Amino acid sequence: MESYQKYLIPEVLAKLKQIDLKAKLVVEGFLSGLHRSPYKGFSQEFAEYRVYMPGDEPKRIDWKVYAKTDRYFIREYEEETNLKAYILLDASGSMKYASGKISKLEYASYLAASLAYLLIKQRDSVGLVTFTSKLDDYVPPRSSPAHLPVILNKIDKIKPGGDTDLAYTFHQLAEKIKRRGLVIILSDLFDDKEKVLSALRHFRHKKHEVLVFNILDKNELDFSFGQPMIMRDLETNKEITLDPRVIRKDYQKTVNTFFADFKRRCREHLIDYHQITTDMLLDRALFDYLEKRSRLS
Amino acid sequence: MGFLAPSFLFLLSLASIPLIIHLLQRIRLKKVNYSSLFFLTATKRETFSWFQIKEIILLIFRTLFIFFLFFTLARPYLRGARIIYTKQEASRVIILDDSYSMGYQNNFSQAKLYVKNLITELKSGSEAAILTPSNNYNTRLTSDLFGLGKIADTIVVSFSGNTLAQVFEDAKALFANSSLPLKEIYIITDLQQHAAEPLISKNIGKNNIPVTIIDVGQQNEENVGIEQITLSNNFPTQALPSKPKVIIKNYSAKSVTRSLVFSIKFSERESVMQNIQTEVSLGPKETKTVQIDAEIRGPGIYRAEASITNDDLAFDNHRYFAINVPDQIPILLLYEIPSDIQYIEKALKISNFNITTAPVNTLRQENLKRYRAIGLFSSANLNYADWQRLGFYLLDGGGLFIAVDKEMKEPQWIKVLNLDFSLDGIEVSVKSPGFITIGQVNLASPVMDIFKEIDLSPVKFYSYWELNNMPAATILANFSTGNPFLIEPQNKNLIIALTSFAADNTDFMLKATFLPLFHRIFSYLATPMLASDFQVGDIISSRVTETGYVKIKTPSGEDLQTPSAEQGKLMVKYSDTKQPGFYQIGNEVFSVNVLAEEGDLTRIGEQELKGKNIKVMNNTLGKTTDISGFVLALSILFFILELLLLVV
Repeated sequence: MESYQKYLIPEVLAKLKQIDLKAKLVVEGFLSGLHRSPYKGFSQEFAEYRVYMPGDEPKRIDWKVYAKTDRYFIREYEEETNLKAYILLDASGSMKYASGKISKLEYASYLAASLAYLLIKQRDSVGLVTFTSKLDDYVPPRSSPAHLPVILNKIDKIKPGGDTDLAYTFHQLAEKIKRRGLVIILSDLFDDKEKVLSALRHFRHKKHEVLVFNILDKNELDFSFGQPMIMRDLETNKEITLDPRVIRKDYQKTVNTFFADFKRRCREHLIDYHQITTDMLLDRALFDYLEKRSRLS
Repeated sequence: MGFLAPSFLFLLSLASIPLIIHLLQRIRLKKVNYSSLFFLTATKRETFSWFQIKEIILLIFRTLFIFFLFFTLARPYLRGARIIYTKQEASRVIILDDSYSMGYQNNFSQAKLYVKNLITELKSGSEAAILTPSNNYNTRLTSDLFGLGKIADTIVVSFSGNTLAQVFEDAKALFANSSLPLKEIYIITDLQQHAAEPLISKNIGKNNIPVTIIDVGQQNEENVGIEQITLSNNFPTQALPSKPKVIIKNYSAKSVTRSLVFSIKFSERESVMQNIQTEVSLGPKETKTVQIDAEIRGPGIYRAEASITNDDLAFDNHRYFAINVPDQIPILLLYEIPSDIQYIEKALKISNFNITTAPVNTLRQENLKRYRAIGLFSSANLNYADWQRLGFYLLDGGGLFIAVDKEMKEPQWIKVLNLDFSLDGIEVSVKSPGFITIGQVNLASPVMDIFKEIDLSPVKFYSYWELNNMPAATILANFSTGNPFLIEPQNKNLIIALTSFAADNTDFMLKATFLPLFHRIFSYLATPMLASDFQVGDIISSRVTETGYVKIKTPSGEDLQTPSAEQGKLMVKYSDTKQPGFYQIGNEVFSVNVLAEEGDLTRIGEQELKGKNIKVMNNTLGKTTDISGFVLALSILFFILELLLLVV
């Protein structure tokens, strides 16, 4: 594996302390995966990759990237953009959950930092919103490189806890963000589906593009626990006693139905929905972002 | 409901273990932080109730499984109709037949249920006692009925034979100290014919004490027992080895086939010398002797065991046999003139006898304890003290052969030896044709059994002694006139020839039968305990040489006993022979067996009990039912249900 690419593995990344370093390594690992040579000559001229669109000149296609990813990417150079991206990071108690070494919040933080890094590198404006049952922090979007440490510092200092009220928070934000932009949501979406979808529609109503990263732990989908146990809710501290073996099938069915419906409803409202589990490589989300970004340009 | 082993009831508290574990598990249930119960609450609503119900059902099944398991150990039984209502205080003796025939099928457990019933039905202030033929559990009359019930719980079938008639006498004797006006005797037995007949013949119903027999017996279908192990020749030597014989009896009215296994060991090596298996077919009530193809020869201690398989009543399916074949047998031959014994001495010397000869007048100088048998061929010069010495020698277990001569017509020796006949009749000198011969021979005697096909009639005697009264003795052989030739007084290790073997009185020494007869006589007298067979409950007496504790090997382990001095000898008298098997005291080995007849489960006829003023209750009256098996089945059922529930 290329030396930077190993930082796409969440467990490896977790060993590093500094969030800026993490973000840099993820993005560079991601970019080196896209095309090794641009990393060496990564300069001010190069701006970004974007997905090939009908009408683009075929000669601008980076064939090496195609060979690796099976997708057509076009290198763009020093192009000024005026995209304002808002990264909405869910810091509620449920995001603390980790069945392995990486909690959902940690994974979401790495992703948020990496996205911020990538956005700044692309000269886009990026802002950060962290929230629990209410808005905790709001960093308005800026595009200057000096803004990146501000965002990364905020991400590093996040203190998770509390209940979730996604709908309320999203409605608040939808009203607060005046200028249209790209809203990137990093959350487990454990909330009332209808209310959340209503809030997402609110973003759309305000002409925002919405990209939802539904971050889950694999155990939350599989529910692969064994013996009877007492489960404590990380948000409410409520406890229930159950035998996971008995309810596993029903649980899996409920969860899958819930998110499948969520995805379908998002698609209906032109909201990009991606389900990501904490055992996945971090570049998966970055690809999804790039795809979305290319459509915006 | 009652319990045969209520002491196990305390174990029922262990049934609470699953509940305790369940509660502990709830306390110790692993706590897991989970992101959100958002999806779980919806799912749990439908499934958790089943989970809880399953847990509770599982808990119930587990508890019931353990409860019934320990309940089984307490041996529960359902009490049927009450046997008897006692309105006043009573003094009740319960004779529980614990002879081994009661081990047939469930006879004994039924009998114990009755014992419990008879004790618990007694009114407060009553007293009761339990007596058993084995004497293992005998009690005195006691008002501690609860304690008596506990003793009843511990009673197990013994290896003893049935001695109900004797126990009945003991039961009557117990009432001597009872002040209660109502006295009762209950006999719980299988009414075996051989034991019940002596009991009934005692007119037990004609006492002032009412007697009730509770009959728990049942006709057996197929019981076969080993009656005895004997030898083809009681005096095995290197030249004349002996072969074991096993006598098997079919007590049932059916033809049966059983597999007989026989093994014999030479004790010094303790290795299996022979191990033989054979099939034996027996007709109804048939007794069969099975000749075993193994040889006992030479001195040593031999142990043999025979067993039959696949048969009812296990107790009589096994039999033990021990034989101590001596190395050399020291014999003292007493004579007046050397010619009295010259032929006998030469004849016996070639066998395994160590012969010492001495003039009869030197008897007082001899240490008689050195000899296993003494042959007295002349009594001249024997005084009263000499006869007393011979009398003590007999009491010590020595064997004595007397050939009556002219000097013995004085009745002195007959009194000293405590014999019950007299020789007042004069020596008969045979007239025409001048001699008499040996007539009828008692072939059943181990001394004479070899003369089955040998003719003793050519032997001539010219004079003999006529007895004037018939003694309590076994006649081994008669003269041709019908007068006894050889007699063996009962309970004495003594053989008397009513004639002289002097050369002027017989030509016997010239005949081929001379040697075998004397070999037999002296072997028999010198080795009275050759086959050391005892019955369960007998006292084994063994002479030992060492002082201090003597180690006794028993079938169940080892025992120690201090020997007692009796008439200058160290003797061990071992009475704890409750178990069949081999008992080794010092260097001697003894076999202890069950009473063979006890295996005959033939029951006394109803007719014989009629008009005897005995109340007989058969097994169907007041029947109590042992439900241990049912309870155990319940326990297994709950265990299976628990497993099924775990799988679901």
